[in-house]
Amino acid sequence: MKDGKTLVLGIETSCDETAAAVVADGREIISNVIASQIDVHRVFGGVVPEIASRHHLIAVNEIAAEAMGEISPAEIDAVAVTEGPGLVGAVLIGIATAKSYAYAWGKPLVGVHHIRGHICAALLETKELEPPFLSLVVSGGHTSIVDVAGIGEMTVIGSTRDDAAGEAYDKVAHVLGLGYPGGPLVDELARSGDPDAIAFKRVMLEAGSLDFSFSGIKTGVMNFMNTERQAGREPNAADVAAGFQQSVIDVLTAKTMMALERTGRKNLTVCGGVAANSALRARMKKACEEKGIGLYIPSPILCTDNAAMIASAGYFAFEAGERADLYLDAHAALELD
Amino acid sequence: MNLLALETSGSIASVALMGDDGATYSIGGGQYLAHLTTLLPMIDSLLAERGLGISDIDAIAVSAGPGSFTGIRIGIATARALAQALKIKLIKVPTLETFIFVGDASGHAGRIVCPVFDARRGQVYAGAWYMYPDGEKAALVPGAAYDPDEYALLLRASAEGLLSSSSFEADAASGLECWFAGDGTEKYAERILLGLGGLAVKAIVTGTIQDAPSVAEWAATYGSQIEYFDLLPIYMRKAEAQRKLDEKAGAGSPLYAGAVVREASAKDALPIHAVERMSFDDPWSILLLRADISNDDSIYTVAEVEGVVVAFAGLSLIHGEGHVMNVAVQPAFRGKGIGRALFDALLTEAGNRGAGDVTLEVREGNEQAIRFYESFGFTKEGLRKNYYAVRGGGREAAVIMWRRRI
Repeated sequence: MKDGKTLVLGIETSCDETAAAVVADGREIISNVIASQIDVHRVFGGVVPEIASRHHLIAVNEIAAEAMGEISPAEIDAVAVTEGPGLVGAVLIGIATAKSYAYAWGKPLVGVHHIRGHICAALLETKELEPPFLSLVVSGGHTSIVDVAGIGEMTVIGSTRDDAAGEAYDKVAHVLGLGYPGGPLVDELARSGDPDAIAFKRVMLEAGSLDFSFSGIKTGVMNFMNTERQAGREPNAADVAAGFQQSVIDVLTAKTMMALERTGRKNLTVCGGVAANSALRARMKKACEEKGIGLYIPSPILCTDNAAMIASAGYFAFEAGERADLYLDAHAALELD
Repeated sequence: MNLLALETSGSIASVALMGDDGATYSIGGGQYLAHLTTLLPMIDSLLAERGLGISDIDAIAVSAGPGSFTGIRIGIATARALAQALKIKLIKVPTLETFIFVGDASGHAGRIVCPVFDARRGQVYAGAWYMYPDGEKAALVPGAAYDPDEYALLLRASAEGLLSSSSFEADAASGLECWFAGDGTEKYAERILLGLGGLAVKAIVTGTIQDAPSVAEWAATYGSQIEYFDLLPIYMRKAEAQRKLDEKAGAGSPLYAGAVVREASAKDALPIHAVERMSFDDPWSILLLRADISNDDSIYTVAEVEGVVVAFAGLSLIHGEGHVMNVAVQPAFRGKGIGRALFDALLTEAGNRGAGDVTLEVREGNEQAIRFYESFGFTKEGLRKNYYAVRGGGREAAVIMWRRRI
């Protein structure tokens, strides 16, 4: 407690970012420190779980110390940590660390679902935003449409049946020889391409479904590239990137609009790493304006994995009386609702 | 001083508490590989049992590996965060060496303590320490990841050395015991004992695994206190993806610290043959090797680690040309820069003895070796079909490479 505000220390190590943050009353960022391992994993063309775990262990204490800054442990009201879903060997570094802090300081511990964290990222920037709202979560590991009736009342109403959107981006980036991580690279290349030059399939699944399937779009791109290359042609990479991105965004937008209509929610948040994608942001803005929907997309730094969002979600869970004990475990897969 | 000790490197976790009087209390039997969930609850209940709180702890000793990567990280992440939060120091404990305190430690006097962990992929994490009857310890085989046969070779060589040393005879007239423990004994003890064959030692094989009281004992006897941020795992192995990447890049890592390169003589024929056998599908016979090493027109270099030959390279001088006969490094010592140092010494000596151009043959499919030779300036100049036998039948072509005098 500081100046009458509840302080939560958040820790996040579920993938390739080691992060810690302190948030006041779930809405105000006091600190938000992120050590990215992107450079470490780039040479492997993707995140290597064992290497991610090794780096989390080296970094996590100093990142937490930096996030704490001048704040004394006595002023912290709770320690919140991502308990999953994620790379289990990576998640557990955060959990072992958070548990030990909570135990040594005599503070409550709260386990946070990573997606709930992403959804709470919007609350950090828009102080007046309150549930109910609809949330589209798009990242390297997740693609879900979540109905947020309350912070503690989240229902997944649509999710991917195969690849996450970000995963499809990484794979297409690989086929185009762009490197890793794929999202920002495809986004950048697509800007100079013609999105209508090459049409890739929009996979909508059965009528009325809010679920996604991106592996078909990804395969479509790979098949197209193979066919062209076998015929001795090298397609314009920018057009391929733009066409692929267009089809992904068409599907994301169509399904999200369908979900808004079905739930009757008036506000939408878009979060997760892919929410940093410029074309997605532009398209969502246009679609929401047409329908009179309030759109809230956090700044890119809060879209990618961070601990401020975990501290925020941890605060709301803490206020709702949720507590984890010293037996808290790490989960590779974890249901949100 | 209250010392807390954590052991999470094996399949079962445990926690120990050592007080001022040196008495150790412990709690263990943590569930099989559930270290993340059980470690702090075990710490909490042990402290409660002794009437202490976490703030009464003065230092934390942690078993740092080798062992399960994830298990080690759980112990170390917990220890680091506790030490950081409590502003206390840590003690880094090498897990293999804690076995000098595992079981009935007084019974280890006059014994070689041989911890053997299953490191997967056909390897063991192992080491060997001789405990003098006066309590002093001597490292015979350094803790590392080994091929079981190679570990047996090192153990055998050092045990032979010990048996022939005067200090040993004075101390232990009753014979030499090798005490084996750790989770790799069940799988590998037989093979290691076979490798020791004929040596006058008595083997005691147990499946005893690491425990926290031994971690506390090691820390109290040998440990030094360090800052939490200086404590990192003793992995003894790269991440698999890293290993593959380095291999692909032909990364010339710095020469393995313990390796010494020297010219070979005929008495090295036996250990050279052992390396040859471990490395090739169609090894030369010992007689052929011995004859070639003894030939005045041959140059052989060997690399030794702890007095044991782990690699060799040979070359014949024919009419002023060097013909590389063989280059082999024992599997467990590959990727440590040993082959590179060895081959470099061989080429230098060949040059000293008047060799101009140097040639060699290499299996067409052995891309790693081809890259290795290319890095020494060799280039492909030809192909000799059906040159090598292939295990399981068939033949493989040899690529002919030359390094021309500039």
